[in-house]
Amino acid sequence: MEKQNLNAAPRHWVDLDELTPDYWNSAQEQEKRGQEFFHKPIETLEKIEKLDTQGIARRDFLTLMGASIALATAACARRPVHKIIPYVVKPEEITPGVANYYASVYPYAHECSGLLIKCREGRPIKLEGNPEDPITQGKLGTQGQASLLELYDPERLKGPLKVQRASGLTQEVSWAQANADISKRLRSAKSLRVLTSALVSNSERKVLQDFLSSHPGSEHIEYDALHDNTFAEGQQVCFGEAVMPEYLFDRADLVLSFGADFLGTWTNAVAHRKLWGKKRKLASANAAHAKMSKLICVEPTMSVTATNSDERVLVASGDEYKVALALVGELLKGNSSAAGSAASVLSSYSAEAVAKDSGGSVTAEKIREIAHALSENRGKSIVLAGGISAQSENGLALQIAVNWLNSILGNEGKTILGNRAPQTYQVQKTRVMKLLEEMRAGKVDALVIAGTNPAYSFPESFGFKENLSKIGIVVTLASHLDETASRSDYALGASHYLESWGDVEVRRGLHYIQQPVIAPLFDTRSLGETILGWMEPGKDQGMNAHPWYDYVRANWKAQVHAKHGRGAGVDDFWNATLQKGFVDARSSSEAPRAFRSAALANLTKFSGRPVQQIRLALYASSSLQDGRPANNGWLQELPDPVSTITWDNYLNVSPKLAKELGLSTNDVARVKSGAAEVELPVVVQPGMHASTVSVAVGYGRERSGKVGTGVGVNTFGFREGRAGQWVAAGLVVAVTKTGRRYELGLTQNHHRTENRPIINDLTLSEFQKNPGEANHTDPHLRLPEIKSLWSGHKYDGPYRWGMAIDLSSCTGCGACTVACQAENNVPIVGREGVRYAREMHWIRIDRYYSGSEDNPDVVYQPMLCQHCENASCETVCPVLATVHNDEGLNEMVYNRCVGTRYCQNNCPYKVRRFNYFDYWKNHQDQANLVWNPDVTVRTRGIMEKCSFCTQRIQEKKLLAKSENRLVRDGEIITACQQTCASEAIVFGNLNDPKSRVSQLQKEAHSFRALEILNNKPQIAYLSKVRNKQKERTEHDGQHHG
Amino acid sequence: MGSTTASYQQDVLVTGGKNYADVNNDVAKPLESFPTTKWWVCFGTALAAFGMGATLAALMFMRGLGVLGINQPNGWGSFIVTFVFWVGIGHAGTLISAILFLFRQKWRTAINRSAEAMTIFAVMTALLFPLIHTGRPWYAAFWLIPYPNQRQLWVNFRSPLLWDVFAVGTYFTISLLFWYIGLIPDIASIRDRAKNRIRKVIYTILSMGWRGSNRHWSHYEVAYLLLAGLSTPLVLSVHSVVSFDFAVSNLPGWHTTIFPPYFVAGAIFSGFAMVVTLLVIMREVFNMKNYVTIAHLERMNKIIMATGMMVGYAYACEFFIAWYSGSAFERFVFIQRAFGPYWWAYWTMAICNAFIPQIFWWKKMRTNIAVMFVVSLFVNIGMWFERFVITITSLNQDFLPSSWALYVPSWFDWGIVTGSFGFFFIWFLLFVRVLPAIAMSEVKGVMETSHGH
Repeated sequence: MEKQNLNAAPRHWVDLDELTPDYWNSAQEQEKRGQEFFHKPIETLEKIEKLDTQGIARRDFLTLMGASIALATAACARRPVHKIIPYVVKPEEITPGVANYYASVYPYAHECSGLLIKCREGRPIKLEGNPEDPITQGKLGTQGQASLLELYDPERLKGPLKVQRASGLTQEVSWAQANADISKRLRSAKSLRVLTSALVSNSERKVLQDFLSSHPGSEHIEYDALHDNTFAEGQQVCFGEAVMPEYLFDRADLVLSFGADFLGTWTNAVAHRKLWGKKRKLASANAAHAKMSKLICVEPTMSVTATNSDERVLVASGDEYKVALALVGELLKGNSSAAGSAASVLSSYSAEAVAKDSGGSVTAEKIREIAHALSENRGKSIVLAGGISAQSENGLALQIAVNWLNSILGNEGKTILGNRAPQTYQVQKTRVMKLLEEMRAGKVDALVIAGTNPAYSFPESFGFKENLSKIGIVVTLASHLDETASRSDYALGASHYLESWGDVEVRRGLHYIQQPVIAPLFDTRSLGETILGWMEPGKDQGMNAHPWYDYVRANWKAQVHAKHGRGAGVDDFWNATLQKGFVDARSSSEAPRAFRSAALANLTKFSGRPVQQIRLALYASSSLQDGRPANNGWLQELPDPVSTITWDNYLNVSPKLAKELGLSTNDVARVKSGAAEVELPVVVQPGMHASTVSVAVGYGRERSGKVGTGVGVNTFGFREGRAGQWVAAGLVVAVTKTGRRYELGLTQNHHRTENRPIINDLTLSEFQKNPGEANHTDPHLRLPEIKSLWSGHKYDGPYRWGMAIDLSSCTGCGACTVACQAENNVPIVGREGVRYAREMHWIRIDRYYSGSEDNPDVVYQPMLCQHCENASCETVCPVLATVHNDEGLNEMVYNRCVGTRYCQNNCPYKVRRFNYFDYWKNHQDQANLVWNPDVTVRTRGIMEKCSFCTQRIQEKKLLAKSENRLVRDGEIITACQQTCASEAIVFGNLNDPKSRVSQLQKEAHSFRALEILNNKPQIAYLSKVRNKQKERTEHDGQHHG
Repeated sequence: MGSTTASYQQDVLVTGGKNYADVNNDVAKPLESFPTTKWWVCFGTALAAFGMGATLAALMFMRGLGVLGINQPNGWGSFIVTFVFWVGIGHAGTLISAILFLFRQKWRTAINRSAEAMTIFAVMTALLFPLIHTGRPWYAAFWLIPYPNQRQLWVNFRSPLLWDVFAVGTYFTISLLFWYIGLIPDIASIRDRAKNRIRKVIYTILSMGWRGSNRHWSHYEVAYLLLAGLSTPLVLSVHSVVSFDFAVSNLPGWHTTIFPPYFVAGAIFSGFAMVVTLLVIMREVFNMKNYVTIAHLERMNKIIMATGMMVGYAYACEFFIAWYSGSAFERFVFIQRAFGPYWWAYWTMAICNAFIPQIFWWKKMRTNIAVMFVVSLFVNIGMWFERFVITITSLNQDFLPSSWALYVPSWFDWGIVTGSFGFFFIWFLLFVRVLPAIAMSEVKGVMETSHGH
């Protein structure tokens, strides 16, 4: 066989010589090298590890030890009696066993979604998007799904605490005591500052204004660690108003992204996935004329968006603006007057100059090609940049260039709507820096902090922590005794959003009501309640006093009812809105915003950069974001879509740079910049720019809880405040090898398909020619018809359940994994468990690379139980604990399972999960309330796996039966499907030829994973199609022969 | 013709000019004297090993199987490896006593008793593992048995694990009966020699009223022959069925038709090696060199070499088929076996099993006690690794590369595996203390003296 040229993009083939390079193959293999024979069991490792970095396994150990002692000493004792107490007077709304759904909202600025909250017996057990929501349309992101667990976090602050700042000792106080003291001291303060996260609730904003207006010299400052200041500044400079415009990806045929992870971690990703997904779906019926949008990413790192791109241009962190300006130059060629005063600046960014500066990763032809594509798609394209990895020194120049491009292309008002944005998207940084300056000067007497954790997320150089001591009184309203709360005089327990009232305006004219679905579990209060308590101490006493509710309603009446009530009575309007969840009174105007050419004055002339510099880009972690949900085990254990790493952040290094520095995955490297120095485990990440390294923020929490404390390293320290700019990317760093090793918790150790018939990917032109094309010939993707002696399962009833998953629109975000975890009581196993390859997720996202390691193609494949007709697991179970039912489901009978694990071995998809320990015992106290009562909580020693949400199937079947009809198509929605924003997952009845799933399974580009094994999965995948021009070359075909 | 007779006559099965009384005295001596220090040292070591294994197993039951090295792709680990290992060991006994009996191989008489005992203890040890490797052994202990119950639950007869239950269960029952019936005349001899009353009562009960009458002997011989006939197919079936655990699954590296004969050959190979290991020790410790002679051991070594080559052939054949079948999965697994992360296990296996026994081509080597002892140990190690290679290298890199992960045993694995050796040796050491380790009645039948009278 001819040796493959790595850059010649072999499809999925991998030669044996290729198997050897360590970075590409298996980090785990290296890690275990030299200790193949011996591995310390989990408990012991935990005891040896001096740094108790991970709560779960330790807790696990303690509970197991406890259990063993209990077993040893009290094996014969009777079980404790738990009485079941029926309702004497049944609450009107609650029928045991029947879920109630309430509309509300996930109220965070970066990702606001209308919610439908599933409650059972008075407690919320599952969050789902509100299907009527005009923006997210029933979908919910990863953090939204996981936020349910935070409600039941037993380590939340359980009430107000008085903290001695010097010693850190805390003392429980009552709200009345705390409020009396706080309001007195705040009133006497000359300069009061209130630091909150971006407020999305109008009532909160108003109550704060009311409060501050009675405190002269006070000020409200908003701060979010991941707030896109540079973006907001760009909007401000170019359009006169700092807003987050609405990007209509469903209208864009071409999307050009400069590092904006709009499908992953950037603002409103759920809405973006939803819209983007619409343009990625293909039908084979009219394949010759099939169309899909094209996504081009110009960025140094492998973000989720980058992995979904059709084309990627690698550019060193901080140099994105050069490419953007070169594109402007190309588009304005021959029209130099359009550039106005900036003409000379612009001319310095010629395609050739930028290409030369890039060190070869960008070519002038490529720039021209993209410029040509943009000019072909005027008014049908979107150019965007954002996220902290785009906040380089020249981030503003990038934003201006991007806005300029959009206005040149006429995208404003067509694919980008700036007039429906919320009011909340400000430039936060200026006022924050002013606050820090005042603190340094000792000019702040009182500081109230709510919903943000500056002591954690401000770099040391900002001096926040040291200057706190200069403030007379610091009050923090927080969910946990976190880094900031523990440094305050009062740490007040904040209510979860599911416990409190609010009204949210996420887009102008789109008003949500946030309604509580459970009384506060602890003695906690929301921000509004707290402030009301300070304004009118004593009024919040008594059984029937709900001052905050009254306030929200009054504000609603004045602001929303008055404007959009359309004559309905206040109560009727309020109740109707509560039921629906929101009022949509957005303006339908799509007027374009005018680009202010004055902004161009901010651009500077081209300057080259030293090629050898290593640059660092910070990025937001897909799961932890700014670190707020660090104590959420579901998020900590959610594998990063790209690296598949859990429970840690790490330094992404390109294969080339890793070779130069002698680094491999799991090596610990020291990263040093002017501002900070940390040690991080390394991950050799294909597709990274050769001289850019990147690391996620949001880790390294010092005070979070048993789960989150000490997980990873805090990298916010790299952020630099330079001349009014917050720089988080393009930072020049030195990376050195420490020689130490650290084993990361990877869920996927091998990254190529080995050309196996697991996935199928095509280019659009290939699809147009033959949508059924299989790009594997070794072994064959599709199984030829074979004769069987057995007639197969008969599905005589009305139903046969199946699924179709579209690989083209799956973005790999992982929301399905968390949704499934919440729905099906899937436990977490901790970092140590992941290191052992024992993660329990019923649906996981497999990620495969193909092509060159410098810029690989990526395919995400959601992998769950395939419910095979010829199921390998069913035949080998000696006790019939896993059986096929007459509706095509492969059922798992937990009670019958003895745990031989033969089914797990024999499952070609490795989707069966074994309970090695009693993982459910990790849920302590209130955390047990999160269990879905419809799904068995599994004990140790048994196997579990995806059930196609059998409880949901059963529920709808019973409903249909009671109404004497069949289940309608689309009535049963699995948890993964429900939350999938790009609607890649479709579930339904295969016995109904008209159902969506039946139609999709009949598509020419549908295939089954490992079809040649004749397992006959009930899940069909639709081939991944990339909008790439490149056709398969002769060379690609050769290695199949 | 003459030379054949001569060579046959040269084959003296009992050396040292022993007569019938000597046989009884020599064989019964370990039973009738206080245990030697050597015995105590061996027994103490075995007890300690078992104690450690049992303690770790108890901890494992309390905490969960997570203390072991098993993980998501590697559902089976050291326990199944060791199970197959011990079942394999358990092959030699029945082969020696039944098949060699049917083929009238008289030299088997000196070794068949201890080989059968070894079989029984090995199968007992093996049976521990399928039970403790399950997630819920407290149910697995009886849910795998098809018994009528109110819940109308039944077992899955399509599952090779269930076939295992029957195959190994049957094998154990027949082997035990076969062994015990062969023991009856000898127990009676011990009974007759017993001076202590308690001892006499126990051996009287165990000998089931044997008086050595003609009637007894004729019944005995018919029963023995019948059981030999019954056991013979079992020798082939039990490991074939164990191999089905692998062969019937669809994993590349497991799903192979060669497995039944390959496993049987491997089992005989490892069983004979274990017999050699034990006999070399036993004839040393209990001074039975005149009964278990170099000639016996040499024959055993020849079989070891022959079966070793069969196993070696199977290794080569698997590779050939992996290439010839054109299955990419299969090909990958075999390349990974030899050159992947577990190359060391593969080459340990190949060297120990296919190459080291080749030394027995030289008569000098196969009649040298030290050499054969070392070789037999290597074969035992090699055969453990064979099962490790089969089990792990197929599991750790199967169909979906996304799931690949290595298997690394924890010290719970090693402790419990070591404990199983302790368990085995406890039984074996007790056996040589309380039951005649050499079939006295049968040895007498093949002694030189018998021709004279």
